[in-house]
Amino acid sequence: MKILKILFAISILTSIYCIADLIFLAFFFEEMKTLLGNGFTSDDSFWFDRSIGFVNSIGVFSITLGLWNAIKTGPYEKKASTFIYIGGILFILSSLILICYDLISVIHLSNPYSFANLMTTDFMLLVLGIGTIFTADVLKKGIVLKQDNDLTI
Amino acid sequence: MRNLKILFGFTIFVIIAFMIQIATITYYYFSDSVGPNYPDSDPKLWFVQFLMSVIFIGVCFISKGLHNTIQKGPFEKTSGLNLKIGGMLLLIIGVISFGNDLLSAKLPHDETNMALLVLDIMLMIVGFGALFTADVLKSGIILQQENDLTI
Repeated sequence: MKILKILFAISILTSIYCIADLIFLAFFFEEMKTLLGNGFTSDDSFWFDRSIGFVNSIGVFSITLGLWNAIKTGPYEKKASTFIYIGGILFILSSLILICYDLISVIHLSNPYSFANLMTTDFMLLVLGIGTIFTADVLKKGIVLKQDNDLTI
Repeated sequence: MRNLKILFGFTIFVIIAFMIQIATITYYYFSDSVGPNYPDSDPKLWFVQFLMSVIFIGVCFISKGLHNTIQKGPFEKTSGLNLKIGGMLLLIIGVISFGNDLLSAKLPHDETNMALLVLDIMLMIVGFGALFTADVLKSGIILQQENDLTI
């Protein structure tokens, strides 16, 4: 399970980035305002991006916990599958919201980068979410197999 | 396994999108409708096309693995192998294009390249995810073999 450990390390790095982002927003908000001016907080997309980022952060934390459980107690464990499943659901949720937001932006031509975002980041996040849920499903099936195996022994 | 079918549908959609993209670029390259110098103006065109083609092959492998999983159940040898090859290809392309985008980025105010870097990182994560799933399937095969032998 070397891949699992690499994936866990990546999720830890992403978690650290998410925590740093949240800390920066919570404790250095005033400094940010002074530096960039008041205008950027009045922009709707700032708080929208932060909310989506927050949902994604919770998803990353959940997947990290799931992978940690998989390393500690083996992959076929209920907790690992549940945490990974929750992470996948959160990724799908945020990607669907982003897709709707970017679709509206494309229709109203309000953001020139919306179409590129829609076809790349949003789509990739959706694939990542569904892939994560698929992995959780496979783990769940493995749990049943392992229980069968243990009972037979 | 409804999610599996949705994921399989996605891979089919991506494969069709890639085929259209590759066909369009090739058509425009050999047609005069946009001028003979149009594709040659970007020296990286064929490099990007090569990366796209490898991603296309990777997605094809993942799609085949998912199709096998739908047909014969998750713990089957060929599906794990296909996912592993697909994941490897996505990971390699993620690393190559990350290096390429990092070298061509004009930091710190290059938003387009920053978005591409995020996309490359996501591609690498998808590759690692596919490899992890292939690993899980592999250990599941051993479990199922043990189970079948005990019965």
